[in-house]
Amino acid sequence: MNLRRVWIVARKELLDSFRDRRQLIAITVSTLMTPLLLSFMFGRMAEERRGADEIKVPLVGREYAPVLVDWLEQQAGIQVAPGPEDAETAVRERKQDFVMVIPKNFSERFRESRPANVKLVSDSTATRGRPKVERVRNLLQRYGGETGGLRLIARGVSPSLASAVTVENVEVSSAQQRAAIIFNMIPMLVAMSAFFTAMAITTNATAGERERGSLEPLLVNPVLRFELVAGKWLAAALSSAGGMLVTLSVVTGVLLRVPMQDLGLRFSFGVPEALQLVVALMPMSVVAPAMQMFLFTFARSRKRKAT
Amino acid sequence: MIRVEGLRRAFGPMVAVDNVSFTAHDGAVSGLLGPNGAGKTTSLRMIYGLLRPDAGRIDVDGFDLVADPLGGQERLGVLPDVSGLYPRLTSREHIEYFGELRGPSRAEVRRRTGAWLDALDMRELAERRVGGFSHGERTKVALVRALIHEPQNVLLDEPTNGLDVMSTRAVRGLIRRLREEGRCVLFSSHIMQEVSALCDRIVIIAHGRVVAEGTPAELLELTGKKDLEDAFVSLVETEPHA
Repeated sequence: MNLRRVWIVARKELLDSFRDRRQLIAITVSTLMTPLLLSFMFGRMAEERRGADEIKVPLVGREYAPVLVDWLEQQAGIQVAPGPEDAETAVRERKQDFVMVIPKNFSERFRESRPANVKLVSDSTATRGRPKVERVRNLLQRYGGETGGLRLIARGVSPSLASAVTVENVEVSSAQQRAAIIFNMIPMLVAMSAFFTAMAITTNATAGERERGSLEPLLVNPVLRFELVAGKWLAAALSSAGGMLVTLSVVTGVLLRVPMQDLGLRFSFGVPEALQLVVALMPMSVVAPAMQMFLFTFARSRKRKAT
Repeated sequence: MIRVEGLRRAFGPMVAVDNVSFTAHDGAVSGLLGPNGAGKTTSLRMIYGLLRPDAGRIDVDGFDLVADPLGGQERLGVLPDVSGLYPRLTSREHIEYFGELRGPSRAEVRRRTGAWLDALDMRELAERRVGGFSHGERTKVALVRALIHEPQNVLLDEPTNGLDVMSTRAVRGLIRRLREEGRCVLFSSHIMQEVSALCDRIVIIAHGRVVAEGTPAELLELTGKKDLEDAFVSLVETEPHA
């Protein structure tokens, strides 16, 4: 085997495929689409989470329940702001995610230890506001529970009597596991980019060579078939490795920018992990073009039998 | 020099080439003349090592091409029946690719490429991608690509097919030049005028067999006709359909 000839073939295939601008664009889009989409998804998720952590509560009727409002304001991430007069219209027109309304009779009923009513006006079809409403509802229920407990204690009754059944939520999927599902996609993404980028050269260099009729003049040269195949494979493997490195650096860049804490994920993905991935996935760029070339050559020789 | 003896090749039940023998000498232009489907391209393909003959011997400058295809190919320059260029490469890149595959150093290939581009008046085509080339321009590129290693034996499969007058003249001029340089030129054609204008010897093939071989004068004498076209027609038609 003459390595110089292998390299001449590889160089020509690389040059030829990089000139194919349409294919180059198609590959770039198809390999970079997913990481970018991923970053967009992460961004949205983080934003929503952050949104639930810092809630501005539009409140109408603050003066009827000053104690409750004080308590609310002491909760982490809660800010109380004056709400719109017409709460329902404001929510319907999506000017507010939700509005909390304290009716006039609140303090009177509260003082008399009767159930005092608080309204949460929200639109359940607006998913964006849902975590906020959820959080405020939980806080209000907690306030109700605490106050009720105090009342029972004041009357010499244990608060636990009032709760016949308590529900405990056990979340099986830990934050890491949820993160793992998402991050499992990364090696997949990178491996797929190895296939995509190799494809450009392998199709062009096998089936394409025959379709254009350029195989015949090529085979007239006193060059071993093995050298031709090796050169074409080398070109495909190099571009496949290149494609993988680009995809991986984009993914790494995206992940470095994702605010993991905001997502509630404990997962670190940095340059060392990326390098480990490179080592783990490099064999892909060796095997992928070989597999493709085998397939495409087989397809070609079947076609030849037909002619 | 190319010597072919008892060449035979069948595709399934169809015998494309049957017991073809002829010799193409150095410093001479030999024409393989025959109607479409006579077995010209199949014969040439076997000579340039792309098809294995079922039987027969092919001798290129003393190399047994059937036993050692690469050794024979070293001594051949080939223009196949389709130019088969890469649309995204320039003329120069095509020529240099094949030139370097043949072995000489880059600098040497550069030098020869430049000389050829000048010789065929292709300077302005050199750096253009062949994707937009006319048929004649493509043929020129394919020709230079076939000749860049300065082969002793040149095989041309219907080199002027579909070319305009100017390009045809250029190709004919090139063929004469190769003969003057002492090379062995073997080309196939179904065009009578071309063969009579260029060839020192003519091999007429029909239905996969050699029906006549000789100089144009000998062929006229053989058939008793006055011009080569009549001679050709009578030779091809008298061939019994075996």
